[in-house]
Amino acid sequence: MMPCFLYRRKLSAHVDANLDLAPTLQRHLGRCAGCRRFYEQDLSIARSLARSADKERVAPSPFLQPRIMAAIERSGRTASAHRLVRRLAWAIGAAAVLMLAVWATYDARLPRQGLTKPELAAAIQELAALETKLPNDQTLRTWSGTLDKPLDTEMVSILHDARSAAQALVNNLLPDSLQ
Amino acid sequence: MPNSHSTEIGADASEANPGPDVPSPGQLALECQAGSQDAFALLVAQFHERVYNFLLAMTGRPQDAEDLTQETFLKAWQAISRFDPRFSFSTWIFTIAKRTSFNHFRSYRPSVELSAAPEPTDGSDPSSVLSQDEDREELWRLARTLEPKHYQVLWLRYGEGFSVEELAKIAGVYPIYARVLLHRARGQLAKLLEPKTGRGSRANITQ
Repeated sequence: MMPCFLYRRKLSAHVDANLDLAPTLQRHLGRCAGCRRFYEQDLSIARSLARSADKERVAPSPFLQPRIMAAIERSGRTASAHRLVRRLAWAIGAAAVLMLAVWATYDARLPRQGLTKPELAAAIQELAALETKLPNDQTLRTWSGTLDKPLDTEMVSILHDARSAAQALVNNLLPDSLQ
Repeated sequence: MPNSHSTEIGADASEANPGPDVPSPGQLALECQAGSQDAFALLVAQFHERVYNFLLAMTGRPQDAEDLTQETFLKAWQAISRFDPRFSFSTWIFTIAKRTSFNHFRSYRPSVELSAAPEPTDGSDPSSVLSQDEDREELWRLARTLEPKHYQVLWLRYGEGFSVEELAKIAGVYPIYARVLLHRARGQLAKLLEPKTGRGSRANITQ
């Protein structure tokens, strides 16, 4: 047979859940005056607490509700301001990173022997302009008739100068890792 | 022998339908999720008094209860996107309130003078001491002297009408432990009543 304290746990659970008593519990209550008294006490306390709870309630200040809404309004404005500041910070950060990346790439290509950025830009433009002025085959044949030295000797000199120019460009423009 | 007491005790009216023309808390919460501050104002109107009373039960101090109520709704507004409309809004807001009050004024409990309880006088039957409405309030005054966790579950169950499962969720305990807390709370209340009414008569005093 189940001890009374276990019956009381079950009875209490029935009070908690607003349940009708199971037949086994009803039978036990019919036999056990102690448990019956316990159940009646428990039930009456629960009923009284439920009935008198309204009187326990206290009305808050009439300003509480507007105060809550004002706080929410303020928090919305603060949140908007924070969002704006965050976006600005991100934009400034992104711009800084971009500029740093451009600078780092560009700086790696800068000549290390005295050329500044404007000078380098001018040199690149000159090289591009020279390309358009390169002589074609007909011009070369015309020139060759006026040369003091044989054409092949002139070509060797030109090639030598071009190699020197390329070497200078490589040394000054390419990053070390690519050299 | 009593075998039925349905509709008497904490009738699980924790999220009662506010009326045909008033949107339910769940519907209002959905509107809040779409960004409607007006819908949230309606939720505040519906719940701020209940939340305030719960926090007053937790802290015992009206000013603290008001501050914590404001904080609770602010947190709810900021977290409204995380509210799952399949569940009860009242359980959700009370859970936030419970967490907000957690550790706040935990050690502070208003002391209640037991001697303030009405004594049986003029030879009347002690079993009638708490039988009238005004005397039933005495039960809650005694309840406030219990441990906070016991008072909390009593308030959630009988003051707010939450089911055991709902109050367990709010209190952050397993339902079985919530039942144990309720059982112990009522038992302690019965013991507090005993000296005033005489052993064996508790069954009647609160009816």
